[in-house]
Amino acid sequence: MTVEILGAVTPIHMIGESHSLAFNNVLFRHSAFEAPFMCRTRYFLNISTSEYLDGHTLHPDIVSALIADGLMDKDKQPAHLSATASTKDLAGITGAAPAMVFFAGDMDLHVVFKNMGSEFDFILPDDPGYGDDSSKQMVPYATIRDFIGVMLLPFLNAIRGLSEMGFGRVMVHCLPPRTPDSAAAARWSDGPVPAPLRGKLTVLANRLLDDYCTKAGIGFIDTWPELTENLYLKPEFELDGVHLNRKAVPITLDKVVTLLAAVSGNK
Amino acid sequence: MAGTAKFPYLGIPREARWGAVVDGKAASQIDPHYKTRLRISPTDKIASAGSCFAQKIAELLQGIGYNYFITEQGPPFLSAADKARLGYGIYSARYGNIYSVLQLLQLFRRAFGQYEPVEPLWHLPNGSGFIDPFRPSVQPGGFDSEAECLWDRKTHLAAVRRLFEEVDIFTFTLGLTETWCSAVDGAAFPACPGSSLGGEYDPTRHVFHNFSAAEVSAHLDAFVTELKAVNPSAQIILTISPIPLLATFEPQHVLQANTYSKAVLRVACEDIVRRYSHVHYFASYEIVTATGDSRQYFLDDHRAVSDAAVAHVMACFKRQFTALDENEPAMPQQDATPQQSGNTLRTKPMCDEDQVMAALAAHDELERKK
Repeated sequence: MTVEILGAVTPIHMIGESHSLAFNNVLFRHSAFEAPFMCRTRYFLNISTSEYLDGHTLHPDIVSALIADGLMDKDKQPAHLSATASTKDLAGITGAAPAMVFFAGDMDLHVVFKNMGSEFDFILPDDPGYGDDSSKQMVPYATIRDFIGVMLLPFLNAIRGLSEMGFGRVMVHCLPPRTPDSAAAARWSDGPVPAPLRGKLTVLANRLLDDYCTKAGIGFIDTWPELTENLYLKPEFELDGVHLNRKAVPITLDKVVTLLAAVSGNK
Repeated sequence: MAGTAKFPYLGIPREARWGAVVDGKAASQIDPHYKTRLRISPTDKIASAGSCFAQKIAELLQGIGYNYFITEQGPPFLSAADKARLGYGIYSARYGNIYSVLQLLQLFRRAFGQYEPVEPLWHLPNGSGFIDPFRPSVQPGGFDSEAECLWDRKTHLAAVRRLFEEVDIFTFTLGLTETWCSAVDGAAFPACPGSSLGGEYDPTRHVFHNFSAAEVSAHLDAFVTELKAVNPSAQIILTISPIPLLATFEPQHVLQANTYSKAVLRVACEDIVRRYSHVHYFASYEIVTATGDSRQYFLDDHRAVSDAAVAHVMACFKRQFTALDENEPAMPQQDATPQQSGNTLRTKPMCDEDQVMAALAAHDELERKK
């Protein structure tokens, strides 16, 4: 029996809700880098955005996962900053902050979908073309914006906290585009929600995520330009009414690696 | 003796005798009501509207476990606190405070497509946001666009229409006789344009009016008649806010203006109650102003109503209109303790007048500094 060492991969940690699953164990090479990358997924089934922070404390399951993956030390500090030279050598830890892409907010947004249902609608400023249905009850834009903003804030503050403590290559992934097929999407919101409303709410949430990340200097991975056609998810990327299939994976990975190349995370 | 037997006052009920029901009684023991002609059942749909004090009536109706009828619930994802901040559930629909009977009548007519005011939407003083002139405080910061404001108004008026069509008992708290109206079409505003609530005062388009008893009576009569046309079985409870005027625009002392205003409202209520058997009067005003002393039922500003006063009003309402506490005194005496400033109504009501006067105070402060 022989063992051939092929070399080491650069890990990219995909962390969060179910949209992170498609990346698990994906090994890939990017034209901008010589060494290959490998995705490692940490899927958290039931952590809502509001649960990412309890006061100033990161959710214990996430902390445990980061420690288990060698990204944090036992004192909950970034391992790439605190590890001894020998530990770094043994564990293959470089001086650079690990690449971490967080996925959160979609589960929470589906609760909003369910609550808005087919009774409510709102006017999205700079609506790219979804339109609105004046036969529904109107929710003022400020009301829905503030509600989703407050909903996302604990998650975003948690990511900013990680960035500020030394995880300088932390990123936030956008929420995925919506299928125009409301029947296919209905199982995820306990009933049909009009496609334009799902689309607008998702655009709004992504604008809030993007805006926060931009102000905080956190990378935001936006795959909508590649994945959408006429405002909705292209059929070739659809899996089950809410998730993307594996064909969408390279689009995210290209953007992640491009951002890695641009971001200096070695704090 | 025969002459004495015919003396008419011998037959008057106990409640009609000052000595029997007022003299020597603690304020909390006085219930200024006679026999009721209305009993509210727990399944009856009760709706309410009116001036700031009406929010206490709404809280009471919701608090006693009766069927408070809300036709404009707001987005279900909002917390109760956020809904209240945005004017949902404060009243049966999101109309905010309705200070004058004319405003109520016009709201009714707008809901049924019989009246469309010409007043354009307002903006906040800094020019931002779109404000509905007829409910300027329901959306803090204003609506994002004209289209949004008009869409919300359309939804709102549909909810108001449903309210009037389906309500079993409608409670209205009369607040003011002093009103600002459109000079163009007479539309009554809840607040003077140009305050912190929004709008731009234009003397060619906005006029002050202080209603007479005859006018308030006519407006009430029209409302009663028109409500009956769309909902023949609906009962109406009228009550008058005991909270005095915050400011008068009349060239007279605010105390005189307040007395005039409350007197006009009281006369108009009496006029309508005597005219229609399905309209009832509940004596909030008398309970707070005439049963106790002002130190007990008003706070240090002689305007804000104390918790004890509100509790007394609630106890009387329950005795008068519900089967609850029917045989109990108006209110346990030990509950009627004086309240001091800072211990005001349990939850501070959303009050357009307060916001207007806060702006006035800020203006005065600026003037002083000049």
